[in-house]
Amino acid sequence: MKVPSALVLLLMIMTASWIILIAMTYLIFQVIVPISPPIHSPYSVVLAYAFLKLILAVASFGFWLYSYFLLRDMFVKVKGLNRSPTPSSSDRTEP
Amino acid sequence: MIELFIPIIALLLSYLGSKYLASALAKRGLTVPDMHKPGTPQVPRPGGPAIAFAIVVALDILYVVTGSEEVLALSLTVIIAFAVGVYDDIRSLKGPVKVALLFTASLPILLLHTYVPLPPFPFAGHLRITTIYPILVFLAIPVTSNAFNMIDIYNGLISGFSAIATLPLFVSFLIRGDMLMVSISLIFMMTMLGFYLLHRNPSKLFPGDSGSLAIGAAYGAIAIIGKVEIVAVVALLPAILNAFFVISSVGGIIEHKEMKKRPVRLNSDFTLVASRESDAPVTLARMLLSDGNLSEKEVVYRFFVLEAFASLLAIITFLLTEVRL
Repeated sequence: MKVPSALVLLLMIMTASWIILIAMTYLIFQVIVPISPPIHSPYSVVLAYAFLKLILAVASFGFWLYSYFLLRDMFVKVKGLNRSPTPSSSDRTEP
Repeated sequence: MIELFIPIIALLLSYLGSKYLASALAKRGLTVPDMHKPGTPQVPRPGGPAIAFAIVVALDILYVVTGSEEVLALSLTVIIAFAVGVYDDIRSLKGPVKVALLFTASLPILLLHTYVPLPPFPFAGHLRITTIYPILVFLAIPVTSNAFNMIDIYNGLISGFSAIATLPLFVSFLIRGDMLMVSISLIFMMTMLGFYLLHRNPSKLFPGDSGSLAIGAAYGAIAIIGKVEIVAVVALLPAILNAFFVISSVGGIIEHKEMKKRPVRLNSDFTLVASRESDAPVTLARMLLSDGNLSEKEVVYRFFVLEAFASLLAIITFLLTEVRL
């Protein structure tokens, strides 16, 4: 299969990042944050719900960040960014 | 109606101020070499004073006309970020120290309470996050300032990128009918265009950290005050991804010159090539160069294509905030 150009691949990564951003903000703010215990629950249940929300939010945020690592590593792998030999010694290095 | 003429003042102040500053800095020998050009010509730096002057004067005129506290908060945010940048241009601050100082630039927005803790999100309407929103405001200005600072790497990039990134904010304000924010976003865009005329390839003036931090702070503040936070985040995706890739590669916030391995190398014909060293930082520029050698102009053009695409996604995002599931 033909490897897309770097620009096209980055446009695809940006689209994926956008979809993930919208999906994860929806999940965190509309699904996890509104979770609340039944009215007049004992303190231990309220605490357990708060703990559950914290764990779900941290897990979602962790997955969110991890997905960006995956996108970056996918690009590096597809484009072989770390594979080729280094340029010749006559090349100048950017300051 | 006069509000819509103030952006023209910003354009003139930015262009003429940059021109004057470039010649004044050159006369005093305040220049740095442009390493991407044959003969490494000396380019005046920093152009930040011209950028900050144009934005702040235009905003102050708008404040006199409207008396809006939002305009005052934005103006103060730009001044503080600019001051941090000036110190950085003179003393060269460490990354974490710069971030810590930039937290103070969020204070005018927080103290004047020029924010609404109900940000609109796609499919979700307005979220009620009254407790954590001030914390997000506190974090937002250092994040946007540093994201812009990290893309200030090539001639014309940060100024052109910022002008394109402001388009979705301008369109959002226009659709919403918020004429004050339309005027503010136009002031910012025109300032960027005025500066771009001198910053484009071959640059006659570099913004320096005083310029890039003021630009980033202004952008972040416009997003918060204008209640288009998520639209701005999407519009800045290329800069945010770049910052995320760099920070995750090098394991922290560090200055360009502190990087042990360069992500991009310069060939003898002055084209740019991606480093193939496995431990070199993964930056957006390195990714764009992974197909082969490109001139500086070609890399900047690709950055603009990415930013134009992100701006389109940002406008779609704004339209989706009107949709509820």
